[in-house]
Amino acid sequence: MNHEHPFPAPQEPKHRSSVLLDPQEKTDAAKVLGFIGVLVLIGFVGLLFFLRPLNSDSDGAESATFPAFSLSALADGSFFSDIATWYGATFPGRDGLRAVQDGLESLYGFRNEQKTSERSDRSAPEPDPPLSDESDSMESENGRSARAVAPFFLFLHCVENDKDFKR
Amino acid sequence: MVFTALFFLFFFLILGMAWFYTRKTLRGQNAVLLALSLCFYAWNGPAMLLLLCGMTFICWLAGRVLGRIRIPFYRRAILFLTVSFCLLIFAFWGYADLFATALRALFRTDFPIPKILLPFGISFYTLRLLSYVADVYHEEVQPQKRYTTLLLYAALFHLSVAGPVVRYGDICAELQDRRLRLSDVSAGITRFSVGLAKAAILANKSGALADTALSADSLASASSGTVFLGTVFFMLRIYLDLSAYADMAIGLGLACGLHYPENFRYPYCADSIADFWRRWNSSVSAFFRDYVYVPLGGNRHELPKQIRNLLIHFLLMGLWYGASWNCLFWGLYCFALLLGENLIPHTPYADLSLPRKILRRCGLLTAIWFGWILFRFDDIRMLGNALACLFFRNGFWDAAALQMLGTNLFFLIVAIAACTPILPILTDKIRAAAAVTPAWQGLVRAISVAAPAVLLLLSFLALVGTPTSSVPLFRFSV
Repeated sequence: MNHEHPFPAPQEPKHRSSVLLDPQEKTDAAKVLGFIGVLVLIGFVGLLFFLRPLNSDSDGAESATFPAFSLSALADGSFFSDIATWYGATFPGRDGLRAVQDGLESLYGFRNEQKTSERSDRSAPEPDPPLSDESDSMESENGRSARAVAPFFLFLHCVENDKDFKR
Repeated sequence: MVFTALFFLFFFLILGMAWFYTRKTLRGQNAVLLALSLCFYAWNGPAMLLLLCGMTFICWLAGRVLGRIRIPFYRRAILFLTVSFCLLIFAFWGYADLFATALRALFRTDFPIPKILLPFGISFYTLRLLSYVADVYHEEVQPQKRYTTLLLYAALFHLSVAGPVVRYGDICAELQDRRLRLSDVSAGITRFSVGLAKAAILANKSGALADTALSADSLASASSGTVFLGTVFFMLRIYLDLSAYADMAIGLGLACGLHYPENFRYPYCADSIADFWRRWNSSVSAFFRDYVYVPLGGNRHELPKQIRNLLIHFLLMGLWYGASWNCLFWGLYCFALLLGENLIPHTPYADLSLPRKILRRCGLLTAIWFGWILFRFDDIRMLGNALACLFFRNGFWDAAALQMLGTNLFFLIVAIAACTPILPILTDKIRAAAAVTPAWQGLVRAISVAAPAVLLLLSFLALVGTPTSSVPLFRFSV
């Protein structure tokens, strides 16, 4: 007589642990966890409202304030877009992070000494625009009128020293 | 809100994905995706959400009716009415300003033009809905029974900023039955981080440099070299920005179990104009080919009609890219290039010797680059100024050009490399080498694990200096 159970209990899949330890899956899982970890960490810092700066050292301007609610602003979407602006403009440690980014951007090409010293001395109260010095060098280099290229240097100076110029 | 906004990355995305991944059922996941997508649209103006829901409802209704009616006349009438309705809405919101300005100039009157806010993403969801109705009409897809599923297809926030224009037939099966796989999520994260880095680090900087060199003040005294560099940076920026958003969309889709088609296949490496259009924003090019050019008769007619069809195709595509005259001229220019390539007899690329191949590619890139100059300036005087500067009005080269090149030389090299398949080819070669060299495998895995997190950090650093959420280049979506 057959004593086998008519409804055998479902068996656990064999080598379950070895499936989990598949190298590709391990890599994928580590990648996902690493990415989410960085995302959540920065997101958490972004939630620390008490660390949000009231004004920006590098801009020398007051940071954006949280937008006031109004029905018209809600309807045209400006209320929400202002929240996104406020979130980005008052991100905790923004000035320090900008300094790091400026350091990274100095690797984009060859920088002369003057540019480097200007960038490192962001806290200087009234940095002299580099027009005169650079225009002089241009004059000697190229023989062109310094006044002709001065506006361009002003803009170049703006874009490299003030990221507000971006977009 | 765009994908490169800090608020999107570190608030919306975290909460949204946490909500999405905690849903166990497909229905729950779709409901979360729909809610997130509607929030994403509402963020840019809640009132405009009604437009999206209304257009989707009309198209859903049309699809349901087309699924039941068999009489050709009625089917054609329903198709005509639905397409007209969608196009009229799109034309009103997108082009009323352009037409009003044209009328004002034509009749030399000075009537006031009301400010019409372009609804966020309307260009993309209009194309998606039109393709759905047309495909149902041609019985290529079954009409969707559930309104919410079609609304999800139309509103998917991954595709709202810059496409790709995914056809309903490509994802309808996945909208109704899909499985989340770790490999897909992992690939999606890699793709998203690459796209984010392209947009935040490369495209933003290229755009800033182009804007500096091509600003009105700069053009007053810029040398040929400065304008040339500015236009090259603009050429890089437009590709990097658009392809970055496509990468991010594809990555987000993969992370949600949805597979979107590729939209950019290194178009600056094309070997002909036709090849360029197969590689550049291919989902949009394919839409205009399949729903405009082919229904008009395509190349089945005699030459004059072929030319007419091609002209309409490119004029509409140019207008779709931007509601301005320069985009229309850009469309005309692209038409002229393609027509020239088709009409002028030439040796196939594969049969050319190496120097001639290089020459042809250089010529092609120059033609594309010139097209982007037309695309860049919506003010004809600025365009004239730029062209005059480019052709030596203020001299060939100056210190400003030298400084721009010198201070951004490595950046320029990396940005150009990002427009070519060099990195994927290198990655494949390294992976192949690692497969036979066990010592390398650990290193390759470590790089593969760390790369998305490092790219995210670098992108964060690049974006945190931008005070507002960066507004992408494309005038047609925001």
